[in-house]
Order: sequence, then structure tokens, then C-alpha cells
Amino acid sequence: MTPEAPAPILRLRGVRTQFPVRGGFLGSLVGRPSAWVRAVDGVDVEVYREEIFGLVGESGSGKTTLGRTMLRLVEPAAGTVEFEGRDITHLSENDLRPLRRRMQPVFQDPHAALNPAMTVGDAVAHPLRVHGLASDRADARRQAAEMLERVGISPPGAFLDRYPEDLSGGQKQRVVIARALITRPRLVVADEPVAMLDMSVRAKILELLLDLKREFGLTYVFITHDLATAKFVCDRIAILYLGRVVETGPAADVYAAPQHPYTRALLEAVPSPDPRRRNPDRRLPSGEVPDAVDPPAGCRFHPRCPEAFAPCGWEGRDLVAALEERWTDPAAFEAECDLVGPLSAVEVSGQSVVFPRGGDALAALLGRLRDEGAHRVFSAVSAIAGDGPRVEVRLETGPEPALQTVECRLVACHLHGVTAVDPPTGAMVP
Amino acid sequence: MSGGRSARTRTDRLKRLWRTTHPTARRLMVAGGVITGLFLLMAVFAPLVAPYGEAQYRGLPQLGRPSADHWFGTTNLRYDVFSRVVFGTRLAFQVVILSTAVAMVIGVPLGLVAGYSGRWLDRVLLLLMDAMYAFPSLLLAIVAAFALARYVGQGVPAAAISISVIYVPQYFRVVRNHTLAVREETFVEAARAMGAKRRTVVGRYVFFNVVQSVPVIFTVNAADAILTLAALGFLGYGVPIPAAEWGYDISRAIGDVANGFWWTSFFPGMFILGLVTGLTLLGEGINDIVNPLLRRRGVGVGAVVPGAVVVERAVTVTAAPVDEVSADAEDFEAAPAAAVTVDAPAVGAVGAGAPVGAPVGAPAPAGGAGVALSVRDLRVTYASARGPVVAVDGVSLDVRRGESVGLVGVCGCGKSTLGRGIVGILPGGATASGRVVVDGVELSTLPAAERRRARGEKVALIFQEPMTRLDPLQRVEDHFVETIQAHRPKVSRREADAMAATALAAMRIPLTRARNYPHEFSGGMRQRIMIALGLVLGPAVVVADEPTTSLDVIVEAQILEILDDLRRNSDMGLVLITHNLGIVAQTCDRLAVMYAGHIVEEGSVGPVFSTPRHPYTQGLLASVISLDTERLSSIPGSPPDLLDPPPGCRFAPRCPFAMVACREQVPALAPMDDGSRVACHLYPGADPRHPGRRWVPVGRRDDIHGPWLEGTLQ
Amino acid sequence: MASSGGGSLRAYVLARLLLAVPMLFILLTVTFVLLRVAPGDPVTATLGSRVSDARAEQIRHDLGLDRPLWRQYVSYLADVGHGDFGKAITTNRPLRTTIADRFPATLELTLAAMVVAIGVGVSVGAVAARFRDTPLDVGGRLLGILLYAAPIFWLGIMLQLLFSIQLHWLPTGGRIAPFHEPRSITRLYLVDAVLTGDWAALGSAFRYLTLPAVTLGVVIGGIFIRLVRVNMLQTLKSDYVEAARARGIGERRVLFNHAFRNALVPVVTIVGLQFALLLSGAVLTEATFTWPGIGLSLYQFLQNRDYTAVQGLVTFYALFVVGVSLLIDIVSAWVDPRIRFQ
Repeated sequence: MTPEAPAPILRLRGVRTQFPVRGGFLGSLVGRPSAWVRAVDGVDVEVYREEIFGLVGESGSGKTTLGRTMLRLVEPAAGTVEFEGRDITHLSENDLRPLRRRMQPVFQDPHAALNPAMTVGDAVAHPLRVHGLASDRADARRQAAEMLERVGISPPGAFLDRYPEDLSGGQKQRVVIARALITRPRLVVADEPVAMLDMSVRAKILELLLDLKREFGLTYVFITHDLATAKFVCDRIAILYLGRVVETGPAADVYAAPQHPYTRALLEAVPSPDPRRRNPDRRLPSGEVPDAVDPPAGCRFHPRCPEAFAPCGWEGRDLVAALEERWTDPAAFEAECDLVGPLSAVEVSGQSVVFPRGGDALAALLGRLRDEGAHRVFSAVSAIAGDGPRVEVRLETGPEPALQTVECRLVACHLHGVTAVDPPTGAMVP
Repeated sequence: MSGGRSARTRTDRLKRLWRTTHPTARRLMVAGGVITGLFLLMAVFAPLVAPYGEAQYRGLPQLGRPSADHWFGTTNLRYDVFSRVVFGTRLAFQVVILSTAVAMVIGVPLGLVAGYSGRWLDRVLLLLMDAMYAFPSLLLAIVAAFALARYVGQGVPAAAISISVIYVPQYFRVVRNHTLAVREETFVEAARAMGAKRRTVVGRYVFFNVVQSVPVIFTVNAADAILTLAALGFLGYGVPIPAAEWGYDISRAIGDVANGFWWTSFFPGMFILGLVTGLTLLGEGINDIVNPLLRRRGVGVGAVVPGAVVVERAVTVTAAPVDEVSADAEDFEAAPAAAVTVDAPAVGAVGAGAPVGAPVGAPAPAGGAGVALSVRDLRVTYASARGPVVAVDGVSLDVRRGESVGLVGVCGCGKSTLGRGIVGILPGGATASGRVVVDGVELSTLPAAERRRARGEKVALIFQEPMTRLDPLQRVEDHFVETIQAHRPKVSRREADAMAATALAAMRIPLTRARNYPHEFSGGMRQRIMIALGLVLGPAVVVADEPTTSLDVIVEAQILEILDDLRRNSDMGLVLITHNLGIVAQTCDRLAVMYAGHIVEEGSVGPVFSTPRHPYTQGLLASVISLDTERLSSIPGSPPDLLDPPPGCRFAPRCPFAMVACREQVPALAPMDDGSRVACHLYPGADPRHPGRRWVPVGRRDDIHGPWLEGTLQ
Repeated sequence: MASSGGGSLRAYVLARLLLAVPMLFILLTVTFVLLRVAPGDPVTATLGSRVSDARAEQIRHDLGLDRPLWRQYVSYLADVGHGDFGKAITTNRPLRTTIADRFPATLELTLAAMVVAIGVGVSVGAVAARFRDTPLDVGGRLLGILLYAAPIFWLGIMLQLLFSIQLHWLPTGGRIAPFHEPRSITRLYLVDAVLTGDWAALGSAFRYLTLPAVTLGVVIGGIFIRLVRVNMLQTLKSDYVEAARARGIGERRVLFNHAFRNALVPVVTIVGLQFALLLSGAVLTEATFTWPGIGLSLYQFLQNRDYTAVQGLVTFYALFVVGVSLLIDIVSAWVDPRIRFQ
């Protein structure tokens, strides 16, 4: 199914793309960010000619940023991006320009992707004029009409002079596709191309994309949060979580037997339109995707993972969060709150938690919770030390898992044997 | 060649905006336009209008009262006041046009460059302009006029430049902020991705969208400039005599007032008042029309059904699910094939006027034990600019306690409106008729105050987007206390806190965070807070309108589990509005499929999913993309325009089995032997003209544009 | 984990203070360039040929105007840092004393006007928004526009004509009847009169304050009407207001606790910007009612073309404006928890 051509059309190595978080007022004053969000944090991906490569993840996974990095709409802070064998990581806009006609985006929101002040005809013809691919205005217009006809906007003559706002959502997305394909690109990065469309239109746009791929010999990077669509469309997929690939391989293998707990959780969470297949026993991950400014140590999924164990990278703040979660049970809250004291007074640093008061009684409580395995975080508790009223809890450190080969795909999870990624080289930090 | 046609579409667009603007706003704008126009004419033809020259004094009386010869009287210096104010108009326009032109020429390009390039240039310019903007504008103008007076002397150019100093920062700020916003738009990224040069991006993609904000500031600033000019004149730094300038004339007239000569100051002031009012009305009118933030849809026509519940409220209509294209959700007019239905009697149909979609043999609301919600013949009409639109057209539905009913359909089918109609919060201009009975109490006939109390107490609504549904200035706990005390005034703060803690704990919100503000919670937590808030009073029915659409799939599953547990354990009825059939299959007991304002099929989840009867349900189920999908399928065509729905069955134009009978007669919901109900002529009981019989099509339509099939009765 | 609000507010105030420095610097520089550099020699510009060349030279030397411009600039900044605003050429008095004498009057007028403006703006604006598109709304909007469109000085003259000259109810100008001044504590007459229990002074001060404060207040109030109305329209159709209604919260509570409170947040911020407008208006009001404030001084110095005096007063205004905008920003951060956390 996958044409494993020797040279990939797109190759990303150790790519990291980050954005500054302005530190409020002071930051904007000095013009220096107080922190960086690593939206994409060390990703290796290869995309082969004429395949459909899926980037699947929830919001905050960095999938959109990764797509923009592939098209060099943003410049990565580290790593390399190669397009058709050429390193484009740090090319200037001028040097990129001739390449841009061969790689094009399709956006999630077709309404926002079209300039409201430009007619449909002008919008589709504009890339031709940018790249000098039309002899004159009339020629550009003729080519635009042909492409519009091809994407199902017909008769094109009735649409050329309309403004985007006169079109329905599906029609707008067709225009966006026509604009992307009019320069005959090799690679198309489609970011959630059907997510904002009504159900009844989705299938039609997907079909159009698949037809066009066959007709023009396109390569797609298909970005989506929808596992069902990805399964239907993609040849190979990569599952992203908080800026890292957690599992990647042929779509058929990944879907048949997911090897990362996150992939499993995603697949279990997808509601099946078959009422006979209800699954009341599934174990859903707890909580939500954490803030990417300060991602969890070790495996980034560990605070939510139903299968996490000692080496997954537990931190002091996980212990505090576990207590907070535990106290949603009023009985536990009544019994333990006074002993532990306000959680805001707890000192957390790295793998250590210091409770300012509580003494032996607290140490005993924490020991009991560890023995009971009240929360997965307790599996990593290496020491509970009392010092007068103060109690310090220390946790084992855990390495960030590296991608390892498991059953025809790559998985980054300690359940398949504890691994560690290479520490990032210092030179990458800007 | 294309220019002409483009211009026409642009005019059409303005016309449409104009039509959909509230009549009051239109009237105010026209008034402003007329006033401004009159002043402009007066300025242009001042020498013809004024009986005397602007500084003509020979032979005129001193401080003469208003009379037939001198309508507005004469001044201390023997000028004719009327002539002075007429020439003052001319001067005002000269200064205003010159000053705004200067301000625009400097402010707009600077704003564009600063906004697009960002970096240090932006930071420096912004600081400079902000400082100037914060400074009292009149003082700024005075300082400029004061400095200029030494070089240029006083006169129209000096006054205009002094005034323009004030407005440069304003144009700069507006254009810069707009540019900054436009720069982040996807279409600008698209332009970059196609390889367009920076110059092209700014010129063709950014500039044209930014300049649209200029006319609004222009009129607003023009009004302000006239006041500033007058103030400068009053302080002695405007355009001096003999030129006729209103503010200067008023300052000369202060002494007259003390002696009772009112006319020398009254009339110039009235002219300022008039022109500034005219310009402001015009500017506000343009803003009302152009600014989408303030637009309110579908108001004004207000067809009031006799005996109907009129809901008056200023909230936006649609809770647009994420998978709706935003434009479709924003404007009925924008999407030709959008949403909503009109209550047009089936023209030419035999037996037209039969209760459309009403369940056969179930006219009375189901009472008795176990029924949490009973809706009968609910009809919701919106007033749109093109006429009334019936979004929900005679829908009946029952939900038992502990039961979960999924309400499914594509966007615009009326499912959200139905949910809102049940709870009783419809947008402004919407009218509802029919009966809604919750827990044995008929809500639809309750007086407004009791109906209000029933919301929250008997029926709760959970919205789609949890991020904006909590008041940002209120602590989470206070939302609970407020809700509890609104319904049970006798409950003390302490008891209310305890109830809030219980409700939050049930939703697994850490109690340590009850006193936090909404913005300190994640999306999933906020939705759990919203659910807790809806359930704290123990309602009999909860309507959840796409409660998980804006959430990630895992959090969605968490929320659905919570809802499922709740309705089982607390014995309430759940109406789950969703476009996601998977959610219905996984969590609901029954479902109702809506199409174009009607329920077309209703029944238990098992039978409907395994043997869907209505061709629309069949098409809808086939078009779902799931993990098992092997072939893509879609329903041809698009839903009807509810302003002009097709006669007969509304799905018929897209239906592969559409028969001539389907065009003639609206099918009624007919009961099937497994308890489902279907509104389709393929099943017996749907055609009230032939009870007990069904229509059988001759063949199948391959092309929805092809001829309709003949059908035979069996 | 949960960051404490107090700490962030402190950080915010600090950041905001730092931002005020360049803003002040810019304003002072603009003032200096326009009033000291642009007109060339201020002494000649001010006094013209009224004084002999030798006398002019003497004044120039006294004021330090014979030094190089950059030296003048540095000493100008340094002087401002010490609260020294220079001397008026025409009166030869230090402006610091003029400001000290007259600032309380301006403060009293602007505060009273602000009370009037907020009273008019908030009440009319909120009512107009609540009854959108009804005659009440149209009336409120028109009132707002008309009040804004009236030139302050003209409105003042018209009010004088009616209430002072025709009806003889209120005085035409001044701050208090002669010999009625209350014992000086805060130097705000109303406050001092109350503090000292001097009811005659209170009555007189009130009568003199009424017309100027109403004139200035209603004009600014016209702007507030529009501002409050627009913000209220937006909060009234916000999601949380709809959600509150769906929970069955009473309409009055929805209006006040949700719509109104949230509408006031941007209003507080914009009031800060309008404060500058209030000061502009105060100059005109003081000139119209001969209210002995800084605005009246400025008006008089403008008439006399006294460059150094105008420069000194404008400098003071700059300081004042920067201070007030700082204060307003801190108040908004205190009102709206979201701002601190940005």
C-alpha cells in the first residue's frame, strides 16, 4: 500500500518549533518573552511520494504547527526540514518562493482562508500571477475557471466574480482547494480540511481530495483530530501528543493493535455509531491536555495515563494534583485536608514535595496511600522523610521515552521497555 | 471587465447589509446623512445662501435683534450673524477635510507598516502614538497651533495641521490594530504560502481589509475636528477674523450675553451642534451597519402569533457547532442553502392544513408517572429580513425520567432551536407556540415570572461552548450561590455553599478550587462546572445542546460518561442534542432525527440504527465516517431554504424514492410495529388522505434532478 | 499551583509603572520640541518689541535660554524631576506657585464633573441598552449625541444665560462668594466646608460649582452614554448572560450582576482615556466660568503668548495625565481578575 520510494518528498529531523509567551506587560515592554511554548518538540517524520500521511492529535498536540513547519510558514528553532531532498530549514522567503508553488496548504476554516475583498476568480488566479504561470489576465482567468470546474464549482463562470461570502462552506473549501492546486503542487498539507464543514459535505470534500490525489499524483499530509477520518484516508499516520510523536507507522497496523496507551485511549474514546458495541469497561485517561509551556517530565502523557508506572517521569506536582483529585471525594477531603494543610503552601520542586506541617501523622498517611497504590504517582515514591513538622516526599526520576520499534511501528512508551531520548543539544536553544 | 461585475456584487452586499439593519438605525443614519448633506450644500453655495459677505459691516445695525432683514440678528461689529454662520460652515468643512486628509495620509500608512512589520518599529511608534493619544487632545492642538502661530501665522492651514496632530495617533491606532488582526488571518497565511511577495500581501490581502475601518473613524473624527476647531477659535488660536469661524464668534459674544444679547452666540453654537450631530449620526450609522459585533439578526418584522409566547431578548440566535462553517452560522442570507424553514402551507396539496408532523393519535401531552418532558406541536418562528422563518415546525416529543433521547440532524435542522424552545430561552424576535410540559407542569402557559423560575428548577440547559458561559467576574462558587438563591431565597449562604460543594464534588471538581475564577479552569472542567450548575437544583429534564462539540475526544468521552451516570442515578430525562450519531449510539436510549424543522423519524436506538426507515435517516447513517467506514457516502443536494421550503415532504427533492405524492402531501409521523415513528409516504399511515395505506415507488431515482417517480397506493 | 492574586497584581503595578516612564519621557520631549525649539527664542516670541534688547537678554539669561538647546533640554527634564515647572515670562512668577494655588480648583471641578458624567452616562446608557430600539433607546442615544455635539463653552454660555442672567439662580463665574472661603485643609472648598462645618461656605461653593460642573459633566456624560450603551449591548448578548437566564436567574440580577458589571470593565479603562478629554474640557469650562483653576491660567497665558508659562503648564498636564492613566489601569486590573493573569 505504501510506495516506499527511497527518497522521501519531505523529511523532518529533530524539528522543534516554539513560540514566545509574552510575559504580560513587562515582557511586552522589554520585548523579550518570559517563556517559550514548544508546540513541536523534537519530531522526526518522513513523507513519501504519493502517500497520504496522517498527523493525528488533540488540540495542543502541535499538529497544526508541525504542518506549518513542513511548509516553512514558520521557521523551526531546531532540526532540519528537507523538501524534495533540499534543506529548506533556514531558506529566506525569496529562496523559498519558487518552491512554494510545489507545496501548498489547505486550511481548516475555508471562510477565513479566503480574502473577503477578493473575488473567487482573482483568488484562484492569484498564485498564477505570483509565479508568472499565466501569460495575461485572460489566461489566468481561463486557467482559474478550468480548475474551479475540476473541483466541482460549476459552472465556473457563475462564480468567478462572486465574493467568498456568497458561497456555502463546502463551496468555499472547494475554492481553497482550487487555489492550492492551480500551481500543480507535489505536496499538499491539508489541516483539518473537513472539520468545520457540515457532516453531509464532509464526505464530498474527502472524495474530491482523494480524486484529485489520483489525478494529479499528489502527496498529502492530512492533519486531523478525527481518528475515523484518518483511518479511512491515511496510508501511514503519526499520533502526536504535546509536541511529540508517541506512535507512528502504517495506519492499518496502528489501528489494528495500538501500542501506546494514548493511542488506545483515543481509539476507545471515539464513539462508534453502532449501539451494539457499547464499552462500559473502558478506562478513560483522566484530566486534560496540560499546558505546553511547562509540559510534564518523562513521558508527557504519564499524568493522565491509565497504565503509567514508576519510570514514567513522575514529578512533585503530580503528587499535589493527585491529592487534589483525591479530595473530590468529600470523605477523603474531610479526613485529610486539615492534616495536609492548604496545597498552595506545599513546596514543590522537581521530584521533591515538602509539606510544611503534618509531621508523623502525615508521613503515615502518605505511606498508607503508597502501600494502597491510591494513585499511580505513588508507584514512584522513593522516600517519605519526616523532619519535625515537615514531611518530604521524593519521587524517582523517569527518562523521556524514545521511539522504539514494536510490531511494525515506532512507539515511545516505557511499557515496551524503558528507553531514553538523547538529551537535546544545547545549541538548539535560541 | 470583471470590475463592473465585482462592483455590482459589492453594491449588492451593501444593499443586503442595509436591508438587514434595524429600521431605527437606518432612520438615524438617514437623518445624519441629510443633515450633513444640507450643511455641505450650504458650505459649497455659501456666497449664494448668505445675504452678506462674511466680513461685511458697512450699513448694518449694531447688535440688531433677529428680524426679517437679519434673520439671526447682527453683532457688535455690525456683521450679519446669519451670513457669518453660513460662511462658518464653509470654513469648518475646509479645515475638517484638510486636517483629516493630513491625519489619514500620515496615520494610515504608519499604522499599516507598524502593524504588519511588528518588531521595534511597531514598538517605538506605538509608544509615541499612545503617549500622544493619552494627552488631552485640545492641549495638543493648542500646543501645535501655538508653535505654528509663530511661523505660519494663523489661518486655515495652521488650524488644520494643529488639529491633524490629534488624529494621526487615532488613525494609526485603528489601522495598526486592525492590521495586526488581519495579519493573523488565515488568508494572509495562504498568500504567504503561495509565495506572494510581502508587498503583494500587504497591498492585496491586508490593505483592502483594513481600509474598511477608515470611513467610520473618518466621520467620527470629522465631528470631533469641528468641536476642536471651535475650541481653538474660542481660545484665540483658530482662524482669526475677518474669516468667519464659529468658535471665535462665540468667544467674541461672551460679553453680549451678560447684557442679554443672546443671538450672537446662540446661532453659531446651534450650527456647531447641528453639524456635529449630523456627522455623528452618520458615523454611528455606518458603524452599526458595518460592525458585526453589534448586529442583531432577524429583528423588526416580529410576526406575533396570537396566543403565542413572545420571548423578548437580545441574544444571538445560533449556538453554532464547531463543524458549521462560521459564515453559515452568522447569517441566514450568506448561505443560500442554509438552515431554517418557513411555515408555508403546502400549496396545491390535497388536505393542506393538516397538523404538520404532528404524531398521529397522540394529541394530548403524555402525562402520568415517569414522563419528564412532553412537547406537543411546538413551533418556533424567527423573524428574518426576508420574512418569517419557521425553524421548528410542529414538533412533538416525549422523554421519560431516567431516559436519554438523542436529537440529531445537520446544522440548521432546528434541533438547537427545539432545545431552546423546551427551556424557554429563544432569541429576540422569535415566537413560539405549542405546549411544553415538564414534570406535569405546563411551562408554555405559565406567566413569565414562573416560567423563569422553572428554568433551572425543572429544566436545565447545558450549552455547547463552556469557555464563555461563566461570568468572568464571578467566582465559580458564586455562580452556584446565585442560582440556588434565585430559586430558593430562604437558603442561606452557608447552605448554598454546601450544596455547591456537593454538586462540584459529584463532577470531580477539586473543592479546593471552588473560589477560583472561571478563567482558571480548563475547557473540560468548565463544562463539568456548567453541568454541576445545571443539576444543583435537581431538574426533571436536562437539555444538553452539543455539550462536547468543542472538546477533545477523550474529554468528550469523560463528559458523556458523567451525563450518562447522572440521568441513570438521578432519574432525570436527558435530551442530548448532537450532530454526532456515534454519541447517540453510545449513550442514548432513543433518538429523534430532525430535518428542516420536522422530526422525520423517532424510535429506540437499536431498531433505528439497525433498520433505519426514513430515506433521510438511511442517508445520514450511511454518511457517518466511523472506524468501520469502508466507503464514503453522502446525500446529494442540500437542505431546503426554510424561507421557501418545498411543498409536501421536505426531503423529497433529495430523496431517491421521491414520488409525485411526496410533493403533494406532507407525511405525518406514523407509528411502526416496533414503536418507532416515521414520517414518510413509503410507510402506511403517513398520508392522511389514505390512512392505513402506503405509497410504493416505481423504481429509484438516480439523479436528484431527474423526474419524480410515479407511485402506487398499496 | 494556583497563583495568588495579590502577587500578580503587584507585578502588574510594577510593570505598569515602568511603562509610564517612556510615555512621560515622550510627552516631555514633544512639549519641549514644540514649545522651546520650534518657536525659536521664546522671549522675543512672547514679549516682542515690548522690552528693550538688553532687558530681553537679561530675561533670557535668567531663564537659562541662552544656553545650548541640549543643555536646556537636560535641565528641563531635571527641573521637572524636582517638580520645577519654570517661570512665566510675563509675570515672572514660578509656575510651581501658580499650579499650587490653582490645582485644587481644577481638581474640584473635574471630580465634580466626573460624578455628573458618570451619573448621566451610566444611567442613561444602561437604560438605553436595556430597552434597545425602543423610543427610550433612541431618546438616550440622541441625548448622548447632542450632549457630545454641544461645544462646552457654548453650552456654558447658554446655561449662564438661562440660570444666571434670566433666572438669577446661580452665579455666572468664580469659585465662591467673596469672603466665604472655608478654612483651608484640603483646599477643595466643598470638602473643607464639610470638614469645618462651615455651612455657609458649603452652600456658596456648591452654588458656584453647579453650573461649571454640570456643563463639563454632561458633555463628557454624552460620551459615557454611548460607551455604556455599546458595552452593555455586547454583554447583554454574551454567552454567560444567556446562560444565567437559562438557569432562571431573575432579570434584574442578570442585568446588574452580569451584564452591567461586565460592561463596566471596559468603561473603567476608557474613563481613564476620557480623563484627558475631561482636562481639555476643563480648560474651556474654566475659561467660560472664570473658574480659577489651571485651565484659566493656561487660557490667560495663551492670550498673552507666554511661551515658558504655557510650556510649564502643559508639562504639568503631562505629568498629571500619566499619573491618572496609571491609576486607572491599576484600578481596572483590580476590578477584572483576567487582566492580572494575562
